Amino acid sequence: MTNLLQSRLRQAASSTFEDLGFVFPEEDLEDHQAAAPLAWSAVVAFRGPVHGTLEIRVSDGVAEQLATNMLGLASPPEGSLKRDALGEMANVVCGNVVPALGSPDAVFDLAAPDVTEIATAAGAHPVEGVIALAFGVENGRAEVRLTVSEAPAGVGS
Amino acid sequence: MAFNVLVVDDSAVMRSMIVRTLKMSGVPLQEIHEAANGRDALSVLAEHWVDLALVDINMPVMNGEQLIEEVRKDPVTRDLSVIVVSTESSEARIERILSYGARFVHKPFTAESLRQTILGVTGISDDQSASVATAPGGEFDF
Repeated sequence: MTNLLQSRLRQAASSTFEDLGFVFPEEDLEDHQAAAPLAWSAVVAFRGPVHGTLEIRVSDGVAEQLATNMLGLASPPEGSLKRDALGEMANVVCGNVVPALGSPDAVFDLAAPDVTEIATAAGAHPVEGVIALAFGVENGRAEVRLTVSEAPAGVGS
Repeated sequence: MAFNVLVVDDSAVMRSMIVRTLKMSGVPLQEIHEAANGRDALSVLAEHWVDLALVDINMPVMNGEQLIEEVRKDPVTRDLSVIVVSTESSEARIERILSYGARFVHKPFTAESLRQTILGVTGISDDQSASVATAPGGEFDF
């Protein structure tokens, strides 16, 4: 199940970054990408047959690039639109991952994204009990984390 | 005929992306209204004639499904053309949306997939849209 979720998470994140954010995530991070501090977090909580959260963490340059691309601007927009863009990215990735946690008829309700600035120290330490992926994006990096608080019924790990 | 359009999404960035896609679609546009949730959308519909609504599902205050239910109950708005633009993947919920006579576009969408759905709903052909898109004074961002 973990492999299936990881594959689904990778697919959802890649297509969302490419189709919505117009950036191309790469799984092999270059040194400067790996060293870029994670500055922003967007968390979407979901409730349905199982509960959990989907979080995207990105370095500041990636957050700016996403917002700039999504809005079709020549330069980065002001802060609230940067938060909005990252929140929408998390919302779309979450919406595309949660079907893997239930039957085709399962209905999941997604909460509004919670976007915050994160401390460098918090961004440096992975949380246990999550399925996480890391990508290099432009001159920074992104992490996508799925936390499921209740195991899907009848599914082994 | 030029269309009055309502874009309903709690994300200002997503509304902006949809509006840009509308402008590049070649569909002749008159007024474009925006709302951040279903309740605000109903207020817009009470004050303005709208031909086409593009609606998200997961929104605070009143979600998209509740909005469509209200729209279909009102004799003035019940025939409104609706395109749901959402991450929704539940087959049961998508079937309910389709049963309301709405079309469905899954996020993340490409500009072309949304454009084709808009053309299908409005009945504008690719040829007609191309002629509008190349008309002098057209406003297309990309």
